[in-house]
Amino acid sequence: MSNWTSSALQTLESYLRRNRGLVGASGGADPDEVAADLRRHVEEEIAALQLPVVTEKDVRRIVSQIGPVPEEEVPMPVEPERKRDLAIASSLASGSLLLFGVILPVLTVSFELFTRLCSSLLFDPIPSPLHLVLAVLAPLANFLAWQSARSPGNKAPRWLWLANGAACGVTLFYTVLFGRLFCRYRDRLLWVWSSAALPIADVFLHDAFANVVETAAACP
Amino acid sequence: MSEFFDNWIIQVRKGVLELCILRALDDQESYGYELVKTLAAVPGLSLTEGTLYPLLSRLRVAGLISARLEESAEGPARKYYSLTREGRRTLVAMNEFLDKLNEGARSLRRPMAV
Repeated sequence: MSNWTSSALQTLESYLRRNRGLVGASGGADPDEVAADLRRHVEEEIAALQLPVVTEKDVRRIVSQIGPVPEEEVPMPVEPERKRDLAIASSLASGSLLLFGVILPVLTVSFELFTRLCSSLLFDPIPSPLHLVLAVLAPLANFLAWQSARSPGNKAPRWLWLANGAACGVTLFYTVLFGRLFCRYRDRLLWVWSSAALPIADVFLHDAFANVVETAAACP
Repeated sequence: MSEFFDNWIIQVRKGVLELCILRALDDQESYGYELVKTLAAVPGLSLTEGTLYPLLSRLRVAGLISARLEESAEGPARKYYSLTREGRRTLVAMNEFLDKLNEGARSLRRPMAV
């Protein structure tokens, strides 16, 4: 009978935990059964080696022969605080995308359509049905991106990326249009705007939101 | 060797691993540790314990093999695996299919090919 050091036990448990996650993800096999089999195998190796004391080094050597599990596949236990933070971040990202990307643009376009305030005071931002379609494209694309990001593991389809890209173009166009009217330092602002990644901010927001939702959903 | 060949070998290994396990258990019981040592000695199979145990579990869940634990005087309890009736039937079918496939593939081989 060998004596195990605490670090040796810890190393084995960590390995089995990682392996259990890996087997569980691949499907078909029973992760608990595989973990028990591997534990038995390690114990058998140790019995064959007739080690009086089992150290972390011994366990690492045996485990590397068995077939190591990459460290990055460790399903890290998520602390309740972290889980709460993720849930808050997810809600914030979701809410921001919905508020600034969908509700606000819809309200703005509707307000202009009903009141014609901008047309009467400055210029007509929606002079034709085509302009209306383009103006509606931004909230529509954002809404679809928001919906797509809500499903964990859901990758945004290619057409959605294209729709968001087109929406970015439209929003940039209107920003330039209004920026030229209202901003005193418009040239500098436009230079900063175009050189930075702001025009595709909603694409990044979509991606970030999708990641947050995915991470939150993966929490046990 | 090329990356293509390496990938091909991985695919072929994947395809025959389960067959090799079933063949190793044909008409004889074997415990995990012993099975690993037997299969690890098969040239080209490159089997590790990390690959074998999930496969054994999958085969057991599929009802092709059964397992029983037996106390051992030399160390921890041993888990003995054996083929079920369904496993034996499947092995026969797999063997027949592979023989046919091999035969077909061999018929395509030109004398010049190495």
